[in-house]
Amino acid sequence: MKKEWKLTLISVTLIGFFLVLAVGSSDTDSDKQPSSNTSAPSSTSQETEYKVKLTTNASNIGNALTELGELAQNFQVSDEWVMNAALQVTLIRSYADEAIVMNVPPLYQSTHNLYIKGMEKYKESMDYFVEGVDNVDEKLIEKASVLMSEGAEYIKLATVEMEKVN
Amino acid sequence: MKIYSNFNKYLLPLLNSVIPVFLGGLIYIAFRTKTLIMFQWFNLFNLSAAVLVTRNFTETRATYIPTWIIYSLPSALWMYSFTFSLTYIWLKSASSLKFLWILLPLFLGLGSELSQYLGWVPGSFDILDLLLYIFASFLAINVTIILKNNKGEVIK
Repeated sequence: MKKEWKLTLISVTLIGFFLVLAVGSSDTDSDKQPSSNTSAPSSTSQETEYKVKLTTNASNIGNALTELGELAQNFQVSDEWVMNAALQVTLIRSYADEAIVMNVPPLYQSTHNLYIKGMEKYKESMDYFVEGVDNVDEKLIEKASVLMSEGAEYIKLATVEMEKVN
Repeated sequence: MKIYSNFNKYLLPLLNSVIPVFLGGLIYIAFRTKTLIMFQWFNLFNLSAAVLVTRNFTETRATYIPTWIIYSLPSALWMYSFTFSLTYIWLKSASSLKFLWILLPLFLGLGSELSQYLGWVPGSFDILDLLLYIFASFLAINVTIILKNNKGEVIK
């Protein structure tokens, strides 16, 4: 009995340790996710709704990335430039978050996972971009650019896979 | 002369419980987004510089690594370590609850994936994660059984 109590104590400690690790590997941004609607709409309308939302999201983030790319090519030390860049960065982060927390019908789950990976790359690239601009560090901006390209690769892959599903 | 294998008795269990979760942690540090909570902890412990050096080295190489290694393997490694640790503790116990303890990590893993699928918790459901959880759990239990049965094996 005493031995079992000891094993239980060790096990509870281990569970605590592994749960802490699990918490550490969760995303802070996911906390912002609103609780999902549990009354799921019919599969077809859910899929249509998803496709509309995703298309809008892809278009929005694409526009913001293009704007930011143009700004990066015409780098200026001015308040206006900083304001514009900050706006695009905020938009990109926000669109990426929007895609990450999107309700996904099972049919598109695997393609959406690829899309999310692209979004995560974009978000990470924004961190480097902001740090790079703040410190006028070309190396960091370059890294941001590499991450953006990687993000775009994922989006491309997601699009190809989605076409197969459709 | 018979020598008990200390390697089998102590080091192998330790390696099986620590190395996988350590590897999984390294994958997170090297390749995953910096918005993970663990990066806030690294800041707290002044480890940001070490993390940055690691990421400087790895980030451009991430493209060449299959996505399942970056996004699914760490969870499976976590599951392996967790299941191995609890199985190692409870396997030879006579307790009626031992199977509950042994399968607890798998229940937690499957529960979290299912909750993601149903939209009860943040995150995206991935069937690969689910399959890897089951595989890692199965592997950990079997490795523990093998190690436990070989415990005290003699080296001639």
